[in-house]
Amino acid sequence: MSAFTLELGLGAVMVLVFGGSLTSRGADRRWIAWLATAGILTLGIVSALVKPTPPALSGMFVLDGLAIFAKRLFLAATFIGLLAGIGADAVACGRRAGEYHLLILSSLLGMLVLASARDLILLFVAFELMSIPLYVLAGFLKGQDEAVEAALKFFLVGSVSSAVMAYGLSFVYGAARTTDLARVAQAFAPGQPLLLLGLLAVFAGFAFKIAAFPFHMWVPDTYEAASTPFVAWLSVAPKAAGFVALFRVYFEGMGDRVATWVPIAAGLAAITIVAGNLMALPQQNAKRLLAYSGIAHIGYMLVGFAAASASGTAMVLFYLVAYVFGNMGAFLVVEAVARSERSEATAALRGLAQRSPLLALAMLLFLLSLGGIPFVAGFWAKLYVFWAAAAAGLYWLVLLGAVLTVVALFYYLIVAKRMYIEAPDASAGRIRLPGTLALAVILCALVVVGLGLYPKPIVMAALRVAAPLF
Amino acid sequence: MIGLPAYLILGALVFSIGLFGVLTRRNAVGILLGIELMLNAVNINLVAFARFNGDVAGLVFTLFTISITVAEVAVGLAIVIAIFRVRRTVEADRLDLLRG
Amino acid sequence: MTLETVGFWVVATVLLASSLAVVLTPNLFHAVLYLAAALVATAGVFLLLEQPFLFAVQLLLYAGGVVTIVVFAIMLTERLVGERIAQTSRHVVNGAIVAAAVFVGIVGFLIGAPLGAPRPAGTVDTTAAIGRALVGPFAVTLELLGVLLVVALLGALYFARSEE
Repeated sequence: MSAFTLELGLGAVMVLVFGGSLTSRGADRRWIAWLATAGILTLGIVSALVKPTPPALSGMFVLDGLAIFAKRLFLAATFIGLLAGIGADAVACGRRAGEYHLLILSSLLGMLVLASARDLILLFVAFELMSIPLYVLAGFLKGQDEAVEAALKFFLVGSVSSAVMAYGLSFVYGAARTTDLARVAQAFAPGQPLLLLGLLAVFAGFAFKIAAFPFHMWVPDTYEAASTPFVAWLSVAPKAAGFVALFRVYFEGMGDRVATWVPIAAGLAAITIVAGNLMALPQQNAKRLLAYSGIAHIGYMLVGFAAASASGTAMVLFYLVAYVFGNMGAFLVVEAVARSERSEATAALRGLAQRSPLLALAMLLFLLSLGGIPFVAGFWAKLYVFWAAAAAGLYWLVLLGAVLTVVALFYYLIVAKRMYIEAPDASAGRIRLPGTLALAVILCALVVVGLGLYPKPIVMAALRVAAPLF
Repeated sequence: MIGLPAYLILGALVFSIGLFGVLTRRNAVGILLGIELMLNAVNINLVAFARFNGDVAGLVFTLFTISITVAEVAVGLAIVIAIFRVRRTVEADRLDLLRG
Repeated sequence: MTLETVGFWVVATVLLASSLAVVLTPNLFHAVLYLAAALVATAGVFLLLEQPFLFAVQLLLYAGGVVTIVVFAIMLTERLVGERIAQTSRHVVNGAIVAAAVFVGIVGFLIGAPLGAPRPAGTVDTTAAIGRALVGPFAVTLELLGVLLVVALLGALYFARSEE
């Protein structure tokens, strides 16, 4: 198999979707959504067979363990996101189904390349290919005031962060005299302030993209205004891609001088955890609540990044897996309730246990996982990240994270209380949801429970792929 | 002879001016113009580094950033037009980038 | 004072003056025209650095393309709105402080950097080298850029078209 198997396969799926959207007529274009979903499923199966290959394109493009791990995760998240969009979602299945899916797939293409990019130019182009479709998708409900406004905000903040990142990359290139990340490490001699300046600006650009505090301003508005299956995907896949790129630039590109970044990353992790959790507390809209809690989770992952070790990186990868499925699952339950309720307030979840016991149970699992309660995936994720940080000597950060976890439990459990203890409105009947959405929720729940009961395989795989970076 | 530092400081000045525009402009198009200035500074940097290091990769990088910028501007202005179409108003004050 | 030195100061003055005008003028339309001037001045910087090909790209794509799109967008929105769009600023003092701080920070890093290396003698023609690099090591990046441009076009069209 070539190093580009998955990218070429995705290109083929995109051509199929493009051709399909040119030939289809009428308002119901559900089959395009099915086509894209089936294509991603096929690619997911292919990705299980992909083996690491030697670097291609004179070292620019690597298909190592980290890249394969990340690509499988992106494909899984995209599959669930697309699956959930089929069915009742007018956005994914209406007249503009072709555009919607092409945009998602091209953003995914950017992510796949990003996971493999070991060249600054390729990295930047892949990053932009990932980001630009997201701006359009955020405003896909273009008849709605809030949606286009959120898209504009997302676009402006994203473009500024791209500019800052590009400015940083220009200094990295100037100081290292190469765009090859493998050789940047060698150029990082003491007394090279340009490289430091460049990597600092690049870090600020990354912080925007993964939505760390104080670069998170676009998140809540965008999440609230866009269609939920897309938001579920947006809240996880680009963040995961951003982290993988962070690993590439800062661990692969930094060599053994990585310790320079520990204070910066640790500080960013601390304020992100505090700000995300505290701002989540007063939220009454379920999507805004999940937006702020997602910011806090980015902070927890930055804790593992700040550890700057092989085990820290591996634990962030494990955290990403737990976060992808837990967070997507929670968004999809909100979507399921919103479809029958026409409301995304947390109040709409009232009495969910009586209206749909299974949906309530799934939501409870996701909330427990996000909160970090034992025997669901999120518990191990938090434990491992803290463990790696403690091993790196960041005890204060571990303590801070643990305290804020209790705060987070508070707002997660309030939602659980609404579902299980409060009574539903008298008029509210049982919730009916489309089979595809139910399947997506069940898949997420299975992963969250499975990883909680038996995390070993993923942990071992993450440790294996992270080791060569150091 | 004009050395590399002069070009880099010129770039830093343009970058800072662009940042000032991004932070202070009320209108979305005005913010976009600030972003353009920031990206322009990137290109000055890249070309100066490429020239002084005698390396072609920076020139290629410049070509890519220029093309990407054009694509970005097209998408951004399309979003601006979509907003005006929905709102039919110039009131862009509600767009506060720094409010979460 | 060589010709290059004079050229640099002229171009730098034009670039900085027009950049400042972009972010300070109250008229949006004027701001775009000043941006065009800044972009042309940047092309001049490229010429000073002996990059005729990038000079041409900058003029055609940036000054030609970007400015045209922005002017179109302003005219279109003004027609939709039916009045002239004013361009006001807010938080001017804070913005100036932040921008100045960023500039000082960058210069602080630059001062410590070993940048004394003299300019190497110009190669004959970088255009050929750029072309070879684009179809050589950067061929896949170029392909990816093609996808990006198509997607951006798709996105822009999606917003710009009116639904029937």
